[in-house]
Amino acid sequence: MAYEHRKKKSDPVKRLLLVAILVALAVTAIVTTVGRKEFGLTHRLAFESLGTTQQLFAKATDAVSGIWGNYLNLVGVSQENERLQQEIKRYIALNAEYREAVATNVRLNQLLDLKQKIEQPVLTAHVIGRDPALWFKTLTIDKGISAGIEKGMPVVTVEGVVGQVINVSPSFAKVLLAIDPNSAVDAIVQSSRSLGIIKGDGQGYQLEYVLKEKAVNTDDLVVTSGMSGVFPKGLLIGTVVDVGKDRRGMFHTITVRPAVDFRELEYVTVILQAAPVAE
Amino acid sequence: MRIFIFFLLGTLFIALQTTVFQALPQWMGVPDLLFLLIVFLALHAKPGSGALLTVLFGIALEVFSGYFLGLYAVAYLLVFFIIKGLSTRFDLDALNHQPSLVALTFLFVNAFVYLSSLMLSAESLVPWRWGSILQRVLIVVILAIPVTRWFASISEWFDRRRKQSPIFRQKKGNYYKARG
Repeated sequence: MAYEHRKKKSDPVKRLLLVAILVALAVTAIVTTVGRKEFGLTHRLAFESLGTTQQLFAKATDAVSGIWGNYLNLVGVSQENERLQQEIKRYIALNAEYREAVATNVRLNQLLDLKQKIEQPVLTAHVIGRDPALWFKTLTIDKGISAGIEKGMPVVTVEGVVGQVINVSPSFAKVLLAIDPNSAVDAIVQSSRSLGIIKGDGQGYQLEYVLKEKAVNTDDLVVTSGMSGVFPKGLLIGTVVDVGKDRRGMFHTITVRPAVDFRELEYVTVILQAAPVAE
Repeated sequence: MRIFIFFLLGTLFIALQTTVFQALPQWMGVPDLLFLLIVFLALHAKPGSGALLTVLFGIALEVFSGYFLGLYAVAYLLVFFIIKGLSTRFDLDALNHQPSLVALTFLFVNAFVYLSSLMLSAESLVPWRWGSILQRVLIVVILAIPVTRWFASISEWFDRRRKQSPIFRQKKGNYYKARG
Protein backbone atom coordinates (compact mmCIF):
# COMPACT_ATOMS: atom_id res chain seq x y z
CA MET A 1 0.00 0.00 0.00
CA ALA A 2 2.89 2.30 0.94
CA TYR A 3 4.64 1.41 -2.31
CA GLU A 4 1.58 2.21 -4.33
CA HIS A 5 1.26 5.53 -2.56
CA ARG A 6 4.90 6.30 -3.26
CA LYS A 7 4.56 5.22 -6.84
CA LYS A 8 1.57 7.44 -7.30
CA LYS A 9 3.51 10.35 -5.91
CA SER A 10 6.52 9.88 -8.23
CA ASP A 11 4.42 9.40 -11.37
CA PRO A 12 3.78 13.04 -12.38
CA VAL A 13 7.48 13.86 -12.14
CA LYS A 14 8.56 10.89 -14.26
CA ARG A 15 5.85 11.49 -16.73
CA LEU A 16 6.79 15.10 -17.06
CA LEU A 17 10.42 14.11 -17.52
CA LEU A 18 9.50 11.58 -20.19
CA VAL A 19 7.34 14.09 -22.05
CA ALA A 20 10.11 16.61 -21.92
CA ILE A 21 12.62 14.11 -23.36
CA LEU A 22 10.22 13.12 -26.11
CA VAL A 23 9.43 16.70 -27.00
CA ALA A 24 13.14 17.44 -27.06
CA LEU A 25 13.78 14.47 -29.33
CA ALA A 26 10.93 15.43 -31.60
CA VAL A 27 12.07 19.00 -31.80
CA THR A 28 15.62 17.81 -32.49
CA ALA A 29 14.32 15.43 -35.20
CA ILE A 30 12.24 18.11 -36.79
CA VAL A 31 14.95 20.70 -36.57
CA THR A 32 17.54 18.31 -38.03
CA THR A 33 15.34 17.19 -40.90
CA VAL A 34 13.58 20.29 -42.08
CA GLY A 35 14.90 21.12 -45.50
CA ARG A 36 16.88 17.82 -45.91
CA LYS A 37 16.27 15.30 -48.67
CA GLU A 38 17.79 12.21 -47.16
CA PHE A 39 16.33 10.00 -44.41
CA GLY A 40 17.78 10.45 -41.01
CA LEU A 41 17.89 7.84 -38.29
CA THR A 42 14.34 8.48 -37.22
CA HIS A 43 12.94 8.22 -40.69
CA ARG A 44 14.98 5.10 -41.41
CA LEU A 45 13.71 3.47 -38.23
CA ALA A 46 10.14 4.44 -39.07
CA PHE A 47 10.60 3.34 -42.61
CA GLU A 48 12.02 -0.04 -41.64
CA SER A 49 9.38 -0.81 -39.09
CA LEU A 50 6.44 0.49 -41.11
CA GLY A 51 7.83 -0.98 -44.31
CA THR A 52 7.90 -4.44 -42.74
CA THR A 53 4.36 -4.01 -41.52
CA GLN A 54 3.36 -2.69 -44.90
CA GLN A 55 5.00 -5.72 -46.53
CA LEU A 56 3.10 -8.12 -44.26
CA PHE A 57 -0.15 -6.37 -44.99
CA ALA A 58 0.58 -6.32 -48.71
CA LYS A 59 1.30 -10.07 -48.71
CA ALA A 60 -1.85 -10.78 -46.77
CA THR A 61 -3.87 -8.55 -49.09
CA ASP A 62 -2.33 -10.19 -52.14
CA ALA A 63 -3.08 -13.64 -50.77
CA VAL A 64 -6.67 -12.81 -49.93
CA SER A 65 -7.26 -10.98 -53.18
CA GLY A 66 -5.65 -13.92 -55.03
CA ILE A 67 -7.95 -16.43 -53.37
CA TRP A 68 -10.97 -14.22 -53.93
CA GLY A 69 -9.94 -13.54 -57.50
CA ASN A 70 -9.49 -17.25 -58.16
CA TYR A 71 -12.85 -17.97 -56.58
CA LEU A 72 -14.48 -15.28 -58.67
CA ASN A 73 -12.71 -16.65 -61.74
CA LEU A 74 -13.96 -20.16 -60.96
CA VAL A 75 -17.49 -18.91 -60.63
CA GLY A 76 -17.03 -17.08 -63.92
CA VAL A 77 -15.52 -20.14 -65.62
CA SER A 78 -18.33 -22.34 -64.37
CA GLN A 79 -20.92 -19.88 -65.67
CA GLU A 80 -19.01 -19.54 -68.93
CA ASN A 81 -18.79 -23.32 -69.21
CA GLU A 82 -22.51 -23.69 -68.70
CA ARG A 83 -23.22 -20.94 -71.20
CA LEU A 84 -20.89 -22.53 -73.76
CA GLN A 85 -22.51 -25.93 -73.27
CA GLN A 86 -25.93 -24.40 -73.88
CA GLU A 87 -24.49 -22.68 -76.91
CA ILE A 88 -23.08 -25.97 -78.24
CA LYS A 89 -26.44 -27.67 -77.75
CA ARG A 90 -28.16 -24.85 -79.58
CA TYR A 91 -25.67 -25.06 -82.44
CA ILE A 92 -26.02 -28.85 -82.65
CA ALA A 93 -29.80 -28.46 -82.91
CA LEU A 94 -29.39 -25.69 -85.47
CA ASN A 95 -26.92 -27.81 -87.41
CA ALA A 96 -29.39 -30.72 -87.47
CA GLU A 97 -32.10 -28.35 -88.68
CA TYR A 98 -29.84 -27.01 -91.43
CA ARG A 99 -28.84 -30.52 -92.48
CA GLU A 100 -32.51 -31.54 -92.62
CA ALA A 101 -33.27 -28.40 -94.61
CA VAL A 102 -30.44 -29.19 -97.03
CA ALA A 103 -31.64 -32.81 -97.36
CA THR A 104 -35.19 -31.58 -97.97
CA ASN A 105 -33.92 -29.12 -100.50
CA VAL A 106 -31.99 -31.83 -102.34
CA ARG A 107 -35.01 -34.13 -102.25
CA LEU A 108 -37.38 -31.42 -103.49
CA ASN A 109 -34.97 -30.53 -106.27
CA GLN A 110 -34.81 -34.16 -107.32
CA LEU A 111 -38.60 -34.36 -107.19
CA LEU A 112 -38.81 -31.27 -109.34
CA ASP A 113 -36.49 -32.92 -111.87
CA LEU A 114 -38.66 -36.04 -111.77
CA LYS A 115 -41.83 -33.98 -112.28
CA GLN A 116 -40.25 -32.33 -115.26
CA LYS A 117 -39.30 -35.72 -116.70
CA ILE A 118 -42.77 -37.23 -116.32
CA GLU A 119 -45.46 -35.79 -118.53
CA GLN A 120 -48.42 -36.87 -116.40
CA PRO A 121 -49.39 -35.00 -113.22
CA VAL A 122 -47.73 -36.40 -110.11
CA LEU A 123 -48.32 -36.30 -106.39
CA THR A 124 -45.82 -36.68 -103.58
CA ALA A 125 -46.86 -38.84 -100.64
CA HIS A 126 -45.28 -39.73 -97.32
CA VAL A 127 -44.64 -43.37 -96.45
CA ILE A 128 -46.38 -44.00 -93.13
CA GLY A 129 -46.31 -47.77 -92.73
CA ARG A 130 -44.69 -50.95 -93.96
CA ASP A 131 -45.78 -54.55 -94.30
CA PRO A 132 -44.83 -56.49 -91.16
CA ALA A 133 -45.12 -59.89 -92.88
CA LEU A 134 -42.24 -61.86 -94.32
CA TRP A 135 -43.99 -62.94 -97.48
CA PHE A 136 -45.36 -59.65 -98.77
CA LYS A 137 -43.86 -56.30 -99.64
CA THR A 138 -46.31 -53.43 -99.39
CA LEU A 139 -46.32 -50.01 -97.83
CA THR A 140 -48.91 -47.44 -96.82
CA ILE A 141 -48.87 -43.82 -97.99
CA ASP A 142 -50.69 -40.82 -96.56
CA LYS A 143 -52.65 -39.89 -99.67
CA GLY A 144 -55.79 -41.53 -100.97
CA ILE A 145 -58.88 -41.07 -103.10
CA SER A 146 -59.38 -37.50 -101.86
CA ALA A 147 -55.98 -36.58 -103.32
CA GLY A 148 -56.84 -38.18 -106.65
CA ILE A 149 -55.13 -41.54 -106.16
CA GLU A 150 -56.70 -44.59 -107.76
CA LYS A 151 -55.98 -48.29 -107.80
CA GLY A 152 -53.31 -49.23 -110.34
CA MET A 153 -51.45 -45.91 -110.36
CA PRO A 154 -47.67 -46.29 -110.65
CA VAL A 155 -45.46 -45.16 -107.78
CA VAL A 156 -41.88 -44.03 -108.32
CA THR A 157 -39.06 -42.10 -106.68
CA VAL A 158 -36.13 -40.19 -108.04
CA GLU A 159 -34.10 -43.42 -107.89
CA GLY A 160 -36.59 -45.42 -109.90
CA VAL A 161 -39.65 -47.64 -109.86
CA VAL A 162 -41.30 -48.33 -106.48
CA GLY A 163 -44.52 -50.17 -107.26
CA GLN A 164 -48.23 -49.78 -107.86
CA VAL A 165 -51.23 -48.70 -105.81
CA ILE A 166 -53.36 -51.75 -104.99
CA ASN A 167 -55.84 -50.47 -102.40
CA VAL A 168 -57.14 -46.99 -101.67
CA SER A 169 -59.23 -45.38 -98.98
CA PRO A 170 -60.24 -41.69 -98.84
CA SER A 171 -57.02 -40.70 -97.04
CA PHE A 172 -54.57 -43.57 -97.52
CA ALA A 173 -53.30 -45.95 -100.16
CA LYS A 174 -51.54 -49.30 -100.08
CA VAL A 175 -48.68 -49.75 -102.54
CA LEU A 176 -47.53 -53.14 -103.79
CA LEU A 177 -43.75 -52.84 -104.06
CA ALA A 178 -42.08 -53.97 -107.26
CA ILE A 179 -40.01 -56.46 -105.23
CA ASP A 180 -43.18 -58.27 -104.09
CA PRO A 181 -43.55 -61.64 -105.84
CA ASN A 182 -47.04 -60.60 -106.99
CA SER A 183 -45.67 -57.63 -108.90
CA ALA A 184 -44.69 -57.55 -112.57
CA VAL A 185 -43.27 -54.63 -114.54
CA ASP A 186 -42.53 -54.47 -118.28
CA ALA A 187 -38.83 -53.80 -118.66
CA ILE A 188 -36.08 -53.41 -121.20
CA VAL A 189 -32.33 -53.86 -120.91
CA GLN A 190 -31.04 -50.44 -121.85
CA SER A 191 -27.91 -51.49 -123.76
CA SER A 192 -29.21 -54.49 -125.72
CA ARG A 193 -32.87 -53.32 -125.97
CA SER A 194 -33.97 -56.80 -124.83
CA LEU A 195 -37.53 -56.83 -123.56
CA GLY A 196 -38.56 -58.77 -120.51
CA ILE A 197 -40.67 -58.72 -117.37
CA ILE A 198 -39.35 -57.73 -113.96
CA LYS A 199 -40.73 -59.94 -111.20
CA GLY A 200 -40.10 -59.40 -107.52
CA ASP A 201 -38.59 -62.16 -105.42
CA GLY A 202 -39.12 -60.56 -102.02
CA GLN A 203 -35.69 -58.95 -101.85
CA GLY A 204 -34.73 -58.05 -105.41
CA TYR A 205 -35.84 -58.68 -108.99
CA GLN A 206 -35.70 -61.42 -111.57
CA LEU A 207 -35.77 -60.30 -115.19
CA GLU A 208 -37.81 -62.95 -116.99
CA TYR A 209 -38.60 -63.83 -120.58
CA VAL A 210 -35.41 -62.39 -122.08
CA LEU A 211 -34.38 -64.61 -124.98
CA LYS A 212 -30.97 -66.24 -124.75
CA GLU A 213 -30.00 -64.93 -128.13
CA LYS A 214 -30.04 -61.41 -126.67
CA ALA A 215 -26.80 -60.27 -125.07
CA VAL A 216 -27.22 -59.27 -121.45
CA ASN A 217 -24.25 -58.48 -119.23
CA THR A 218 -23.74 -57.59 -115.60
CA ASP A 219 -23.98 -53.85 -114.82
CA ASP A 220 -26.46 -53.34 -117.67
CA LEU A 221 -29.24 -50.96 -116.66
CA VAL A 222 -32.83 -52.18 -116.72
CA VAL A 223 -35.53 -49.56 -117.31
CA THR A 224 -39.28 -49.56 -117.83
CA SER A 225 -40.28 -50.29 -121.39
CA GLY A 226 -43.58 -48.40 -121.22
CA MET A 227 -45.22 -51.21 -123.18
CA SER A 228 -48.06 -52.04 -120.78
CA GLY A 229 -48.94 -48.40 -120.28
CA VAL A 230 -48.55 -48.64 -116.51
CA PHE A 231 -45.14 -47.03 -116.02
CA PRO A 232 -43.80 -44.27 -118.27
CA LYS A 233 -40.97 -45.37 -120.52
CA GLY A 234 -37.36 -45.07 -119.35
CA LEU A 235 -37.72 -45.14 -115.56
CA LEU A 236 -34.83 -46.91 -113.89
CA ILE A 237 -35.65 -50.28 -112.34
CA GLY A 238 -32.23 -51.63 -111.43
CA THR A 239 -28.89 -53.03 -112.52
CA VAL A 240 -28.13 -56.54 -113.77
CA VAL A 241 -25.98 -58.31 -111.18
CA ASP A 242 -26.07 -61.88 -112.45
CA VAL A 243 -26.83 -63.65 -115.71
CA GLY A 244 -27.45 -67.38 -115.22
CA LYS A 245 -25.31 -69.89 -117.14
CA ASP A 246 -27.97 -72.57 -117.42
CA ARG A 247 -27.96 -74.00 -120.97
CA ARG A 248 -31.49 -75.36 -120.73
CA GLY A 249 -34.52 -73.29 -121.65
CA MET A 250 -35.15 -70.43 -124.02
CA PHE A 251 -34.72 -67.59 -121.59
CA HIS A 252 -31.94 -66.06 -119.53
CA THR A 253 -32.10 -66.23 -115.73
CA ILE A 254 -31.22 -62.66 -114.82
CA THR A 255 -30.96 -61.23 -111.34
CA VAL A 256 -31.43 -57.47 -111.04
CA ARG A 257 -30.48 -55.30 -108.07
CA PRO A 258 -33.20 -52.67 -107.40
CA ALA A 259 -32.24 -49.04 -107.96
CA VAL A 260 -34.48 -48.06 -105.05
CA ASP A 261 -33.56 -48.83 -101.45
CA PHE A 262 -36.98 -49.98 -100.30
CA ARG A 263 -36.03 -49.96 -96.62
CA GLU A 264 -35.12 -46.27 -96.72
CA LEU A 265 -38.20 -44.96 -98.54
CA GLU A 266 -39.61 -41.83 -96.92
CA TYR A 267 -41.44 -40.09 -99.74
CA VAL A 268 -42.77 -41.47 -103.01
CA THR A 269 -44.27 -39.94 -106.11
CA VAL A 270 -47.56 -41.24 -107.43
CA ILE A 271 -48.11 -40.75 -111.16
CA LEU A 272 -51.73 -39.72 -111.49
CA GLN A 273 -52.71 -41.81 -114.50
CA ALA A 274 -55.29 -44.55 -114.64
CA ALA A 275 -53.60 -47.91 -115.12
CA PRO A 276 -54.46 -51.55 -114.60
CA VAL A 277 -52.67 -53.40 -111.80
CA ALA A 278 -49.77 -55.28 -113.39
CA GLU A 279 -49.83 -58.88 -112.17
CA MET B 1 -64.48 -53.49 -70.97
CA ARG B 2 -61.65 -56.04 -70.85
CA ILE B 3 -62.32 -57.07 -74.44
CA PHE B 4 -62.36 -53.43 -75.47
CA ILE B 5 -58.97 -52.84 -73.81
CA PHE B 6 -57.52 -55.91 -75.54
CA PHE B 7 -58.96 -54.65 -78.81
CA LEU B 8 -57.22 -51.30 -78.31
CA LEU B 9 -54.02 -53.12 -77.37
CA GLY B 10 -54.16 -55.24 -80.53
CA THR B 11 -54.77 -52.17 -82.69
CA LEU B 12 -51.81 -50.48 -81.03
CA PHE B 13 -49.64 -53.54 -81.75
CA ILE B 14 -50.61 -53.47 -85.44
CA ALA B 15 -49.72 -49.79 -85.60
CA LEU B 16 -46.38 -50.46 -83.86
CA GLN B 17 -45.54 -53.43 -86.05
CA THR B 18 -46.15 -51.50 -89.25
CA THR B 19 -44.32 -48.34 -88.21
CA VAL B 20 -41.96 -48.17 -85.23
CA PHE B 21 -40.79 -51.80 -85.31
CA GLN B 22 -39.98 -51.47 -89.02
CA ALA B 23 -37.29 -48.97 -88.10
CA LEU B 24 -35.50 -51.53 -85.92
CA PRO B 25 -32.24 -52.95 -87.29
CA GLN B 26 -32.77 -55.95 -89.53
CA TRP B 27 -30.99 -58.34 -87.14
CA MET B 28 -33.56 -57.50 -84.45
CA GLY B 29 -36.48 -58.51 -86.64
CA VAL B 30 -40.06 -57.37 -86.06
CA PRO B 31 -41.60 -58.57 -82.77
CA ASP B 32 -45.09 -59.97 -83.46
CA LEU B 33 -46.88 -58.80 -80.32
CA LEU B 34 -50.26 -59.15 -82.00
CA PHE B 35 -49.71 -62.87 -82.40
CA LEU B 36 -48.84 -63.22 -78.69
CA LEU B 37 -52.08 -61.41 -77.86
CA ILE B 38 -54.05 -63.81 -80.05
CA VAL B 39 -52.49 -66.82 -78.29
CA PHE B 40 -53.35 -65.25 -74.94
CA LEU B 41 -56.95 -64.65 -76.04
CA ALA B 42 -57.20 -68.23 -77.28
CA LEU B 43 -56.18 -69.46 -73.83
CA HIS B 44 -58.11 -67.05 -71.63
CA ALA B 45 -60.96 -65.33 -73.50
CA LYS B 46 -64.44 -66.70 -73.99
CA PRO B 47 -64.83 -68.49 -77.35
CA GLY B 48 -67.32 -65.97 -78.78
CA SER B 49 -65.68 -62.68 -77.87
CA GLY B 50 -62.15 -64.10 -78.30
CA ALA B 51 -62.89 -65.40 -81.80
CA LEU B 52 -64.51 -62.10 -82.77
CA LEU B 53 -61.45 -60.15 -81.63
CA THR B 54 -59.15 -62.57 -83.43
CA VAL B 55 -61.01 -62.14 -86.72
CA LEU B 56 -61.01 -58.36 -86.30
CA PHE B 57 -57.26 -58.40 -85.73
CA GLY B 58 -56.76 -60.56 -88.81
CA ILE B 59 -58.83 -58.18 -90.94
CA ALA B 60 -57.03 -55.15 -89.51
CA LEU B 61 -53.62 -56.68 -90.25
CA GLU B 62 -54.62 -57.44 -93.83
CA VAL B 63 -55.30 -53.77 -94.40
CA PHE B 64 -51.58 -53.12 -94.00
CA SER B 65 -50.10 -56.42 -95.02
CA GLY B 66 -50.15 -58.68 -98.03
CA TYR B 67 -51.84 -58.84 -101.35
CA PHE B 68 -54.65 -61.34 -100.78
CA LEU B 69 -57.37 -60.61 -98.25
CA GLY B 70 -58.70 -63.08 -95.73
CA LEU B 71 -55.53 -65.12 -95.16
CA TYR B 72 -54.63 -63.70 -91.76
CA ALA B 73 -58.22 -63.69 -90.53
CA VAL B 74 -58.55 -67.40 -91.37
CA ALA B 75 -55.09 -68.30 -90.07
CA TYR B 76 -55.62 -66.51 -86.74
CA LEU B 77 -59.07 -68.00 -86.34
CA LEU B 78 -57.67 -71.49 -86.97
CA VAL B 79 -54.95 -70.92 -84.38
CA PHE B 80 -57.52 -69.59 -81.92
CA PHE B 81 -59.73 -72.67 -82.17
CA ILE B 82 -56.83 -75.13 -82.27
CA ILE B 83 -55.45 -73.69 -79.02
CA LYS B 84 -58.95 -73.48 -77.52
CA GLY B 85 -59.56 -77.12 -78.38
CA LEU B 86 -56.20 -78.31 -77.08
CA SER B 87 -56.50 -76.30 -73.88
CA THR B 88 -59.55 -78.33 -72.84
CA ARG B 89 -57.35 -81.48 -72.77
CA PHE B 90 -53.94 -80.09 -71.87
CA ASP B 91 -52.71 -77.52 -69.40
CA LEU B 92 -51.59 -75.10 -72.10
CA ASP B 93 -51.96 -71.92 -70.10
CA ALA B 94 -49.08 -72.87 -67.78
CA LEU B 95 -46.42 -70.23 -68.25
CA ASN B 96 -43.62 -72.70 -69.04
CA HIS B 97 -45.63 -74.11 -71.96
CA GLN B 98 -45.96 -70.71 -73.58
CA PRO B 99 -42.69 -70.61 -75.60
CA SER B 100 -43.25 -73.96 -77.31
CA LEU B 101 -46.94 -73.23 -77.90
CA VAL B 102 -46.14 -69.83 -79.38
CA ALA B 103 -43.31 -71.22 -81.56
CA LEU B 104 -45.45 -74.00 -83.04
CA THR B 105 -48.51 -71.87 -83.69
CA PHE B 106 -46.40 -69.03 -85.12
CA LEU B 107 -44.84 -71.48 -87.59
CA PHE B 108 -48.30 -72.78 -88.39
CA VAL B 109 -49.66 -69.28 -89.19
CA ASN B 110 -46.70 -68.45 -91.41
CA ALA B 111 -46.86 -71.77 -93.22
CA PHE B 112 -50.61 -71.33 -93.73
CA VAL B 113 -50.23 -67.81 -95.15
CA TYR B 114 -47.29 -68.89 -97.32
CA LEU B 115 -49.01 -71.95 -98.78
CA SER B 116 -52.29 -70.10 -99.30
CA SER B 117 -50.47 -67.32 -101.17
CA LEU B 118 -48.82 -69.91 -103.37
CA MET B 119 -52.15 -71.55 -104.10
CA LEU B 120 -53.76 -68.22 -104.96
CA SER B 121 -50.89 -67.11 -107.17
CA ALA B 122 -48.87 -70.09 -108.31
CA GLU B 123 -46.46 -67.99 -110.36
CA SER B 124 -45.49 -65.86 -107.41
CA LEU B 125 -43.07 -68.28 -105.85
CA VAL B 126 -41.40 -66.74 -102.85
CA PRO B 127 -38.62 -68.84 -101.43
CA TRP B 128 -39.38 -70.00 -97.89
CA ARG B 129 -36.65 -68.32 -95.86
CA TRP B 130 -35.80 -70.40 -92.82
CA GLY B 131 -33.33 -67.81 -91.53
CA SER B 132 -35.90 -65.01 -91.35
CA ILE B 133 -38.69 -67.22 -90.08
CA LEU B 134 -36.56 -68.73 -87.32
CA GLN B 135 -35.41 -65.26 -86.31
CA ARG B 136 -39.03 -64.21 -85.87
CA VAL B 137 -39.89 -67.44 -84.04
CA LEU B 138 -36.99 -66.77 -81.67
CA ILE B 139 -38.22 -63.23 -81.00
CA VAL B 140 -41.77 -64.35 -80.15
CA VAL B 141 -40.42 -67.22 -78.01
CA ILE B 142 -38.22 -64.81 -76.03
CA LEU B 143 -41.11 -62.40 -75.57
CA ALA B 144 -43.73 -65.09 -74.87
CA ILE B 145 -43.36 -65.32 -71.08
CA PRO B 146 -42.96 -61.62 -70.17
CA VAL B 147 -45.66 -60.46 -72.58
CA THR B 148 -48.09 -63.20 -71.49
CA ARG B 149 -47.48 -62.20 -67.86
CA TRP B 150 -48.24 -58.63 -68.76
CA PHE B 151 -51.50 -59.61 -70.48
CA ALA B 152 -52.37 -61.75 -67.47
CA SER B 153 -51.74 -58.84 -65.10
CA ILE B 154 -54.06 -56.63 -67.18
CA SER B 155 -56.71 -59.36 -67.09
CA GLU B 156 -56.28 -59.85 -63.31
CA TRP B 157 -56.61 -56.12 -62.77
CA PHE B 158 -60.01 -56.27 -64.48
CA ASP B 159 -60.99 -59.27 -62.35
CA ARG B 160 -60.12 -57.38 -59.16
CA ARG B 161 -62.04 -54.32 -60.29
CA ARG B 162 -65.01 -56.52 -61.13
CA LYS B 163 -64.99 -58.04 -57.64
CA GLN B 164 -64.71 -54.63 -55.98
CA SER B 165 -67.52 -53.17 -58.05
CA PRO B 166 -70.76 -52.83 -55.98
CA ILE B 167 -72.76 -54.35 -58.86
CA PHE B 168 -70.83 -57.62 -58.70
CA ARG B 169 -70.07 -57.73 -54.96
CA GLN B 170 -71.76 -60.75 -53.37
CA LYS B 171 -73.83 -60.10 -50.26
CA LYS B 172 -73.73 -62.76 -47.59
CA GLY B 173 -76.93 -63.99 -46.03
CA ASN B 174 -80.31 -62.31 -46.18
CA TYR B 175 -79.58 -58.59 -46.29
CA TYR B 176 -83.15 -57.51 -45.50
CA LYS B 177 -83.52 -60.05 -42.74
CA ALA B 178 -80.31 -58.84 -41.10
CA ARG B 179 -81.55 -55.26 -41.19
CA GLY B 180 -84.90 -56.13 -39.68
